Amino acid sequence: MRVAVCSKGVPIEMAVDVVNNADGDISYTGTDFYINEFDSYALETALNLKQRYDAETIAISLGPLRSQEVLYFALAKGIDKAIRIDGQTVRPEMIVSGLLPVLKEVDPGLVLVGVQSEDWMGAEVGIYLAQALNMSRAYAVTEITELNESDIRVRKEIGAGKTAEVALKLPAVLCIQSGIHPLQYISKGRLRKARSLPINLGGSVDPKDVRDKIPGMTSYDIVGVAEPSREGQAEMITGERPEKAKKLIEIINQIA
Amino acid sequence: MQSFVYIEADEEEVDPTSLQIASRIKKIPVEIRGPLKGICIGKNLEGKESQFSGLLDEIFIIEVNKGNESNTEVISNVLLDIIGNHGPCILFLGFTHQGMELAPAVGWRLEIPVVTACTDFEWTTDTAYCKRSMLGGKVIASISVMMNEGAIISVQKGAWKDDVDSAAVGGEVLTTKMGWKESWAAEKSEVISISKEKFEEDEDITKAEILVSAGRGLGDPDNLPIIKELAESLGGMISCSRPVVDLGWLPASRQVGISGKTVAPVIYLALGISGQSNHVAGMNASGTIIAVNKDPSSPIFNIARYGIVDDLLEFVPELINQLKNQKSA
Repeated sequence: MRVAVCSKGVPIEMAVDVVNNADGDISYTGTDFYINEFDSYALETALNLKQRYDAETIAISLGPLRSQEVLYFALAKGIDKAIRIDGQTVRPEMIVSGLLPVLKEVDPGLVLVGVQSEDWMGAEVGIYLAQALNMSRAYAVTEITELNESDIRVRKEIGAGKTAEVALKLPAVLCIQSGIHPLQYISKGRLRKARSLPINLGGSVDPKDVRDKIPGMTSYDIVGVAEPSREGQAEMITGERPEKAKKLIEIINQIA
Repeated sequence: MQSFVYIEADEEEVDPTSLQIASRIKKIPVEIRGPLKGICIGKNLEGKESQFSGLLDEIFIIEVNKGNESNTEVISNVLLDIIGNHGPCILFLGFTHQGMELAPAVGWRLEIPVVTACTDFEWTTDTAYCKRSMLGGKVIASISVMMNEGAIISVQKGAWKDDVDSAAVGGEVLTTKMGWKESWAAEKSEVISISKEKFEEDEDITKAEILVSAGRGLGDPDNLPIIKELAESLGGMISCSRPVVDLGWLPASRQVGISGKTVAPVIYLALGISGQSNHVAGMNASGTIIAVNKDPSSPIFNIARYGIVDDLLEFVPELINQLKNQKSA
C-alpha cells in the first residue's frame, strides 16, 4: 500500500503579512512556514499505517521554497519520500490542480489530508482531490478500523456528537480529523539530519493554466483582505490584576 | 436563476443554520435570487417542511433508506441531480460536517465556484460578495463570485443567526416528494453504523447557565484544577475548545464548536481561547461572552462583550481568591 500525505506549509501566525494579489489570490511575505496542524495529524496517520501495514509513505507539499521545512519535518518523522510542488496560493482549486499530476504519477492507494488548513480555514482540498481522482472519500476521519487490499473501514464524525462507521472502496481520500493520534515530538537533531535528505521537485502550479482548464471553478476572486471590524469589539476591563478581577466579579454578579 | 438551500435535518430536528440561510436569502430581491427552493434528504422527514413555510417557494423532500441519510456520496448524487437539472443555480448550505464535504463535492462536479465558510454575503448583480475568516479570524477576506453560471456558497454556523424572523414564517409551501432513484446509489461507500456519543447528565454542557471554557492558552493539563475550581466557585461547568480535547486534557463531551457542542449559556467565560471560527460557531449565541487572553489582538475580543488582556494562569487564581473572600465576607 502506498500512502500519499498532503502537507501544507502555513505562515507562522504572528509574523504574517497577507498580500492580496492582482490575480485574485493571496501571498504571504516576511514569514516562515510550519506544517498546517491539521495536516500533521494526517502525517501521524500515514506513519501509523507505515507501522501497522508496512505502507510506503510519501509527503507532498505545494508551496514556495521557504515552505520546504514542512517536508523536512515529515522526513524527520519517518516519511519515506518528499515531493514539493512550487507555487504560492491559498485557493483550494489551484492547490488541487498543482497536486493532481504528482498524485496521478505516485498512484497511491490512500491519500491523506488534514480536515482544513489553518490559514484558509476551508475544507475543500481533500474532497476536490477525491472528485478529480475519482476516488472514494471520507471527511473528519477519527479512526481507521480496518484496511485490506480493496477496502478500508473508517470512523468519521458526522456532527451533533454522532460518528459513522463507513466502508470505502480503495483508492480513497481520507480527510483526517485532528486528535486521531497523538502528535509525536521530533528532536532538533533528527530534524537537522533530515535536512540532508533529498526533496524531489514535482513541477509548479501555473494559475493562468488552471483558470483556462477549469474556468467555472475559478470564477471567483479574492478582492481584499482586512483586519476584522472592531465595531463589535469587547469592552476591555483594564487596570491592575486585582482591580480587573474585582470589576469582572461585579459584572458576573450583575448578570447572574 | 434559481436559489436552493440544502436543508440538513434528521428525524429529530432541522439544523438551525438551514433556517437562517433560507431567511437571509429570502430577503434578497426575487429578480436576483430567482425562486427559493429547499432540498431535504433523510429519513422520517414528515412535517419538516412546515418550518420553511413562507420562506421557500418549494421544498423537495427525499426519503432514503437507513444509512443513506448520512452517506454523503448519496446526498451529493441527489443534489447534483436536482441542481444539475434546473439550469444555473446557486446552492446555499451550512459549513457543517456535511456541508464541508458536500459543497466541494458538488461544486467540482458541476464545475462552478465554491466559496466556503461565508460570514457575510451581498448579492445585487451577477456578482456576489462574500466575506470569510482566515488565519484563525485575524484576517477577513472579501471574495467576489460570478453567479451567472451557478455557484455554491457555504455559510459559517451561527453567522446569520440574527436573520431569522419568526413573523415571516407562515402559509403553505409547495412540497414535492421525490421517490428513490437508482442513479443516486453509492458506488464507493457504505455507512455501516451510526453511533451517538453518550455521556453522564453532569457532563451535559448544553444545560449549563455558566460555562468556564479553557483553550490552548491553558498551556498544560496540570493547570486544569484552577479552571475547575473557578467553574465550581461560579456554580458553572467546565468546557473547552477543540485543541484541549485533541491533546487529551479533557473529554470530547466538554468540547464547544463545530465538531463539538453548540451552547448558549447565560455567561460564557473564554479563558485562553483565541476565537477561531470553528469554536465561535458553537458558542456565539451565549448571553454574555467574557474573554481572558494575553494576546490583545486575539479574535475572541471581536465577539466578546467584555475582555481582559491577561495571562489566565495569573488572572484566574486572583479571581478565585476574590470570589472566596466575597463568600466569606
